[in-house]
Amino acid sequence: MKILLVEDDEITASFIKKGLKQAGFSVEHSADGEDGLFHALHEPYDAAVIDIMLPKLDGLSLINEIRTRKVTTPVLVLSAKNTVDDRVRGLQTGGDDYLVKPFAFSELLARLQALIRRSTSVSEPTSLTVGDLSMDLLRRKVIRGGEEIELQPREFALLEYLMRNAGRVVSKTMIMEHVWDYNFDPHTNVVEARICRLRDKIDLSVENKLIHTIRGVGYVLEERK
Amino acid sequence: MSLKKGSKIFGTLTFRLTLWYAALFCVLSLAVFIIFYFTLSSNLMQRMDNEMSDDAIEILPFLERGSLEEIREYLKDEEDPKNADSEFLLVLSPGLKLLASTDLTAWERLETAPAFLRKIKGGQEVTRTVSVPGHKSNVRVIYKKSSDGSVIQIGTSLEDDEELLESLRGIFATTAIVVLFFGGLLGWFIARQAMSGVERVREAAVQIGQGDLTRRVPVGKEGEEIKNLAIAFNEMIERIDALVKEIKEVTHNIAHDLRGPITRIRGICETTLSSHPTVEDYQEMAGIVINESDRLVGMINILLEIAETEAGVTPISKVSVDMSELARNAYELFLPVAEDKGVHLDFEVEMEPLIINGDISRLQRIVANLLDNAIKYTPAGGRANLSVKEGHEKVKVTISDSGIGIDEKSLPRIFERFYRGDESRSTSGNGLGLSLARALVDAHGGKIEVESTSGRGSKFTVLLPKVNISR
Repeated sequence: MKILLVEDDEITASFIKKGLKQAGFSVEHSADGEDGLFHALHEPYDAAVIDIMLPKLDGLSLINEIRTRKVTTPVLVLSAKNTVDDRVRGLQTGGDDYLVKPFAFSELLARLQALIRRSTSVSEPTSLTVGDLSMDLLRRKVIRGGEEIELQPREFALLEYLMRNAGRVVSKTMIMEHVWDYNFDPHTNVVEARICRLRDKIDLSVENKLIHTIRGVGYVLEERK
Repeated sequence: MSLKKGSKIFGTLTFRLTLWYAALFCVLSLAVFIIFYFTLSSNLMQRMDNEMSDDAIEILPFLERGSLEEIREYLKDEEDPKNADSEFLLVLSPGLKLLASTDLTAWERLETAPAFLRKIKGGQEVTRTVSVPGHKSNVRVIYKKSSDGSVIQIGTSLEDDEELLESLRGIFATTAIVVLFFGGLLGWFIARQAMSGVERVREAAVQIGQGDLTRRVPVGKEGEEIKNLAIAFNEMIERIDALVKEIKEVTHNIAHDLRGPITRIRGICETTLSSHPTVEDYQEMAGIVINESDRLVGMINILLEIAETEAGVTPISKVSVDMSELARNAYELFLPVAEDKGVHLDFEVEMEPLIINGDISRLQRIVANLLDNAIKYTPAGGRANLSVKEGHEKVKVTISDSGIGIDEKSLPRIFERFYRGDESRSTSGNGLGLSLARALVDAHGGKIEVESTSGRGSKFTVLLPKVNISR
């Protein structure tokens, strides 16, 4: 998977590059709009991450330009501004998703993967499996080590979200947005309390824990040997 | 410089009012004078005509009897040498020959028999104003023809009348100047009196402009208009003063509250680096740095959101939202938190659905903020309650708790940005939740109310305008 990153701030660019490489992507970095445009037009990428405020050619013009030249690479727009107007403009110009600075890297990764999934149109799975935990999405059943686990609807949704992102860190904000449809963090430990209950049902009696807390960042569901 | 100042004075309202007063005085007195003058002059003339006509009628019988002697006798009696050059009386024969007259030495050049006399019928009387060469003033002459054709002619110089009228004009001119002067002076005085209130407001505005926001305009007695101007002006300054104070306070609080997380970030980094850190120490440090950074960003975002909501920059999207469902979701979201803390959380809903128009995310935020507070400030073993009811054209969301409550001193200030009561300082939070809640409720055209007793709990009521679904 090859990603084009157009970002003029060096520190931001370096941590995105590092994070994406860790996640298994190869990254091409451009520090200004013109260079970014050149790369976007001459090489094929699986996705692009483009900042709006760029020297030489701004992000929106860059996206506009590659879209008029029929380049369909999915684009994630980065912006320092968080107004509805900017978001709409970013998406109307041809961006596929929008992320406001400062952002959690885990969120950038999740959104980027979602974009790539959408563009490669992988068919929806009917079941999810991580280690000895499996989830039947049609019959809405969860089985751990051969035993069925009873979950409330919200707990099921939370586990489904963690399992779909298995191996990737999801932040509290991402959980709030995808599971509860709250696009803000209500600050208290609502997510902790939920995760805590989910752990009691999934991980309590088992040696091999699946739900892990990454301090300050969020949670990850994965098999650790 | 002086020219500039002069043109400034001419431009003032005071000067213009003065000018108007003076002009009005002038026009009015001129009109009065003109009416008076013409009435007087025509009256004088009328009286003179009547006197001469009476004289002519007295002489007429003598003439009809053909007795020139009697006429001469009469003339001699009537004649006054002192008035010889201002009066005359003469009698003409039917052939218009002079029969008798008073002393005519002063009237040598008088035309005694003008052509029109022939056309007058017997018994008729004609009055003319004629000018006689050698005489300064005009002369009023009455011609009376007897039945036999002889004519009695009586003339009186208009000199006296003209002198009278002339002195009258002189008096008027003097009076006019005096009246104009005093009228102008009076106008200027009244105008200045009226404008002095405006001047006071201006002076205050200048001082306030220089930064003295404590200045107010004294309310004087110039009249309602000026009084209202002063009051309105003072109210405006009051509002600006309050806003400036709020901005100062908020700025101060922002500086203070941003310093907290930054201090923690710096502190943990420093202590980690100066000890012999293990990988776990680094992980802990990074975790704290992320948490504190999130807190900072969260605070900045909420501040921006409050400011934008209050200014109406980001319009509230209006879609149908079922408040019952929204509250139920919030209840379910917070239930585990309450359970973990040992707070008994109740939920009551009167009926479903209860539809209002609003922005779902912002409405979620209002309920979540209030519910979060209710649980946060209620100790273990306490109760919290969320209820949604239908009121008169309103949906009423009530969040009550049996927590620490808010003391009387803090109650009016809890919706201020960064305000935190003494009791709440020990709990985590940024003092922005209620400000945001209020801004969002206001933006929805609703109202937020609070009742609280210190130590016994608080009750927040949010009233939102309901949408009536016609079926």
